[in-house]
Amino acid sequence: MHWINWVIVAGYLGYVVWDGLRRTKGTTTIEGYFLANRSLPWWAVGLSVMATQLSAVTLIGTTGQGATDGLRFVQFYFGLPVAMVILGVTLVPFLHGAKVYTAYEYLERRFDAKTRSLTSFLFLMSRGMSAGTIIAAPAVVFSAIFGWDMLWSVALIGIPTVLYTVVGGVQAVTWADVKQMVVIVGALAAIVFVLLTKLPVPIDDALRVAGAAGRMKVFDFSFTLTETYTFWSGVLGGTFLMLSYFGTDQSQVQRYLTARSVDEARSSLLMSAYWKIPLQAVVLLVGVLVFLFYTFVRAPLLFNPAHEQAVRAADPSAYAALEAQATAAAESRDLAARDVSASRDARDAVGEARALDAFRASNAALDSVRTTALARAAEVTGQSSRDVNYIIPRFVLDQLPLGLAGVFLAAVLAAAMSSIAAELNSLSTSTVVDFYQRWVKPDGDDAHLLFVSKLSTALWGVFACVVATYAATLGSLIEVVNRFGSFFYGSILGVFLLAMLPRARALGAFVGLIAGMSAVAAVSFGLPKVSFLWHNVIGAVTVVAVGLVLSLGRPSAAATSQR
Amino acid sequence: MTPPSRFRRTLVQVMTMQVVALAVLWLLQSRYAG
Repeated sequence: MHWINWVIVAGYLGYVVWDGLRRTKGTTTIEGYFLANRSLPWWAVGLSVMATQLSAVTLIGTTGQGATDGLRFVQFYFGLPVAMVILGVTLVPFLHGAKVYTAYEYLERRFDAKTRSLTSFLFLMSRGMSAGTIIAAPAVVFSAIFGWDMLWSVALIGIPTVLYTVVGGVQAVTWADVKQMVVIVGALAAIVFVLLTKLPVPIDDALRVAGAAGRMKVFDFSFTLTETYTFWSGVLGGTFLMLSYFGTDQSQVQRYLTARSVDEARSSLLMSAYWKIPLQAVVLLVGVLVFLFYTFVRAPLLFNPAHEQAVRAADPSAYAALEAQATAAAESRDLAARDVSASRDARDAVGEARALDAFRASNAALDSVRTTALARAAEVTGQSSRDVNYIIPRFVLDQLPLGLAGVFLAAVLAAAMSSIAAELNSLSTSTVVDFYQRWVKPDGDDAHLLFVSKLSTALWGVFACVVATYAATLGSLIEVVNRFGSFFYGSILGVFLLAMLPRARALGAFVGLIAGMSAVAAVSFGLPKVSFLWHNVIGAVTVVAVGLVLSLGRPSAAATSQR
Repeated sequence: MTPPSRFRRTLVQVMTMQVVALAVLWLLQSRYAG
């Protein structure tokens, strides 16, 4: 990469760290460190909520998914707006009004200490590991693209993030998120502009070609529980997933607990309700435009340069033969796509239909060659080929004008850092407030707790970096933890739903939580097999049903006292 | 404004925006994915 791009990346990293370090105002108490003294404006909190959810995987993986699979992934977010409105009138006033530090703290007030500790422990376990994977995902791509050791890639992302999160607390995290969202949206807009100028045919014709390759299909109305991305799984399963994520995950709850008032907290969530689907559609559209770009310009057979080298070295003549087949298919695809445009210009409907058929045939041929190459890569390297994650980075480095590649790389770092910083901040909050202050040092003064909070943030940061560095070795362990994480996401939502029902009792909540997790485990490992988006629905409904049955009879003391 | 009326108003505003977003996506699909 050109040195000017590196200067842009270094300048951006330096600015984020400097800005984070100077935002130590109000961090002499743990309320300032963890909640910014509940003083932040709704728009900053709203951007922080969006930045936290938008990770480097979104910029690298989701755009790549747009290139290979089209727009249909946007259905995943169809439940988000409804979830945000529901949270705005249910959990947000409960949690903000209760003046808690963590979502789980509220559960002790409503139920008992063991329900709080169990939910908080589950959060720490899953999020602690996922913080590592959030660093690892872009670090793996950087290592493959630039040929760096994994340790350096992790250090580039991890060290600045840990530094400003430890020193500045939630103020640094939130204000860095605001700038990071600006960089991310700006980079996406610039890439869309560049891609549109690089297409050799009018955009209307190009999108017709993308449609012929299946990239413009958005809606799938089939109702099948095993298919992940359908309209119904997005609307129903997605609503429960988003309710769980934004309502009970401390990394998100902590964002809106920093807002000045309940109304401002609500408004911050509504920013996502309004803009998440359009933003996600743009992210996927970038991928579709990159697919179109590579329809007219020769693309590498494998986008992961490390895998490309390995497969070529293993059998040079076999790989050369595959490349020749791919070139032939790509050339006929290019010609067919240009024919589509020419036929549309000439208003020749028959010619257009014939050209579209030729395009589909050559596109299928190219896909077949690519599938063979990916299988070879998996055989040779022993790793599952995540080639989709390398499409956008290769395009950015090979094709974007000088300077813009640096801006995009800064945007990827920004997306990674904003998600990791929120994770570290929330992990530290739960560790200190739900465990250290609750069980070890209830009478600790602010100075002591602030010191422990910074130490805890630093330790979680080191843990995340170690997990990220050894992500490849820990692959199966991380998968198990992530899978286990999906067992309790919906179940924790069920406990919070129970908390809002006056008749629910502590025993019902605790046993219901375990029953909900068991139900999700049953459909994950046993029968009937259902897609993960439905797990949250199953978990939440089971917890509420079991919790209510066990709570039949006398109302709980907490519920009685609340009335 | 009472909480239920505020909820209704917010829900209507958010859902209006979503209907517009989904309509745009639907138009894109029907124009280009056929």
